[in-house]
Amino acid sequence: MASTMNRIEIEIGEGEIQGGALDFSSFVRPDCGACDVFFGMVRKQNHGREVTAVSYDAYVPLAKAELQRIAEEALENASTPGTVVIRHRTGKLLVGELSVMIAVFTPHRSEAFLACRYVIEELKKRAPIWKKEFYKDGETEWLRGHALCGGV
Amino acid sequence: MKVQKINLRVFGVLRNFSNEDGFLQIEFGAPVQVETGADLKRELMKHYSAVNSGLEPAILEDCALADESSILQPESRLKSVENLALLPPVCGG
Repeated sequence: MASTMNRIEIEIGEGEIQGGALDFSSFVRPDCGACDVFFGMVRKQNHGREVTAVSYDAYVPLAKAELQRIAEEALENASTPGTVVIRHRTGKLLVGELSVMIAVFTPHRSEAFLACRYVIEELKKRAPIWKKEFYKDGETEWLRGHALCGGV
Repeated sequence: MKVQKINLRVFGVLRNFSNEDGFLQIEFGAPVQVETGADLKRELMKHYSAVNSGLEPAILEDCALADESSILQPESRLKSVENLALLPPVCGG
């Protein structure tokens, strides 16, 4: 059961994620003394191939619903009230651009670290988001990922 | 229910086989009986084993069926085949 003290905000879209763009003042709450932030970004190398860009595809309504469930689980597992902010890009990104940001605000740091780690690990396994890599040699490839376990 | 035509929203690698709107349009040779998600996936694999579309049935094996709010379980009974999506393995982050 999600706590009424929890706040969860999820955005998925083409809007750029800037490292300093999280408006901390709008998320600060008097019961939270810790915030853990995770950024994921496009890496130049993958499995020995030189990557020039990545394109993300997402089933947005389902991804938002799944990320909402993941965020609720993260706070419940950490036995804490808190705030979870998740932003994920879609569309084409160049090397170095931010693809995902997760910020978790909790009363104490240990819960923030735990919950933030849970969100990114589960996002990778469960969120209906796909990644196509563009390589220096001109080839492209949709990366194989996690089958949605339990699904049909 | 009997199904002969179905449009499935697809993503990721399956977009290589979709129309411009992101749908895989399937017309079975004859109506097929579909009650659950597992039934539909089995019929899709049979269909793509028989046609030469370039979409290998093995790709479908790891795909999940879903609607806008949840991923369907194999035993889920389908009320309709409208507004379903076929999702390959995911790779976000």
